[in-house]
Amino acid sequence: MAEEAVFDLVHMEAVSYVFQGEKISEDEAVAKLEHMGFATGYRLVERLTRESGRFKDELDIMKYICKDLWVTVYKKQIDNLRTNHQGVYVLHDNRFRFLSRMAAGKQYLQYAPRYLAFTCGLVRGCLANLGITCVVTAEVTQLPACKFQIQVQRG
Amino acid sequence: MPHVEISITCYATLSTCEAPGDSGAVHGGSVYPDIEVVRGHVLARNYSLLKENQRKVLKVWCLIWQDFQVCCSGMSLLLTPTTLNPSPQGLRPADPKKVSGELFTLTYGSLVAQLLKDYENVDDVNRQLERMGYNIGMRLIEDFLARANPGRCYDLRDTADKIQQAFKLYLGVSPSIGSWNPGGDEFSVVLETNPLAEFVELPDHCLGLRYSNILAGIIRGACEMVQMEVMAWFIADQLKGDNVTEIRIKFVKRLEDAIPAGED
Repeated sequence: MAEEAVFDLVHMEAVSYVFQGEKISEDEAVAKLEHMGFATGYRLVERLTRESGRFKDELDIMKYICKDLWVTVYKKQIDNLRTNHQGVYVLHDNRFRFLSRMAAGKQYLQYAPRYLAFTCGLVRGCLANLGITCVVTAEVTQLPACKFQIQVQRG
Repeated sequence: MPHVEISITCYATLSTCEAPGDSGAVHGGSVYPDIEVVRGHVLARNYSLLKENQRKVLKVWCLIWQDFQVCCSGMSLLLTPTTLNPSPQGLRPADPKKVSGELFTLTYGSLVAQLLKDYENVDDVNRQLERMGYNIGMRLIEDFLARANPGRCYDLRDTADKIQQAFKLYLGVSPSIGSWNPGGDEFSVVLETNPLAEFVELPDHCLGLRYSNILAGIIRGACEMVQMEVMAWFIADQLKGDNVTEIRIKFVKRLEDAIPAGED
């Protein structure tokens, strides 16, 4: 599938664009990426779920994110989904596509979060449109694996 | 009847939910063996019972009533028959291939929106989009050569064909090539539909924006990596009311391998 190459490259350009200026802080740049992801996810999931059946519950939605959404966007499923059944979900991806082109090892580990911010927003946007308000954070300990933590906000 | 066109549509929707909504007893019994049907009915019934929808429902009833007033010279009671259609439900999955193309379209859209927020001037946005395209093109050509194995180009017409092929491969559209100038060093790529602009409408204050300018940059960047300097720019855009989207490409010169200064 050729269009995934274009998507990868546009994402790379988006990352290098938000970090190009010396003036803006790391947090500000990450927030911009996150926002772009949110806008994308919010619209994308509306297109994706247009003709699918109703979701049973929150866990069902999370499974949808791990399987269908991840396959559409990253061409693979999430490798492991864990939950404490109290609104915290942790998604493990052992080979995250945006990180798979980076050299494994410690050298570039500090730059890895830049390549996860868009996806955090994407997941948050999808869930927002499916009626779940949440905070999504990501963590990398060993390239190219990473994990996304979804904390559902209740009330 | 005067309102028959709209009333049929409305009635088709409402009839599935009118009758069954009232009696829970029916649901419990054996009239509807399919629980999904019942669920759909209850849902639609609840929709029509919502305060803000009640007005719309009443309006439809009124229209039906008016129709009967006209053609049957009055009536005192309106009985609407119940139909036991299965409730609308679709479980066809969306075509994943189509949607992953949309993923790119939507991502690009949010990128342009961010650029518009960051720059005050649309000309700066156009320039930034072109630059991003250039960076993408420089890398994309490598993917194209590896994937499509297009072979060597002997003249600009060959190059035009390859550009056409690349549009097909990466965007899933087949542009036409044409409008060659007499010198044979300038041509147009004409897109009937532009997948990048599929969900886009330009607001009035953005009329100067060349939304798909990234494509011009990609063509320039990709050609530069195969030793051709070209210029690419938009001369028509469907977003601005033109019939087609047209990119003009002009060959400038062949780039020669140059050894960096100071090295032999």
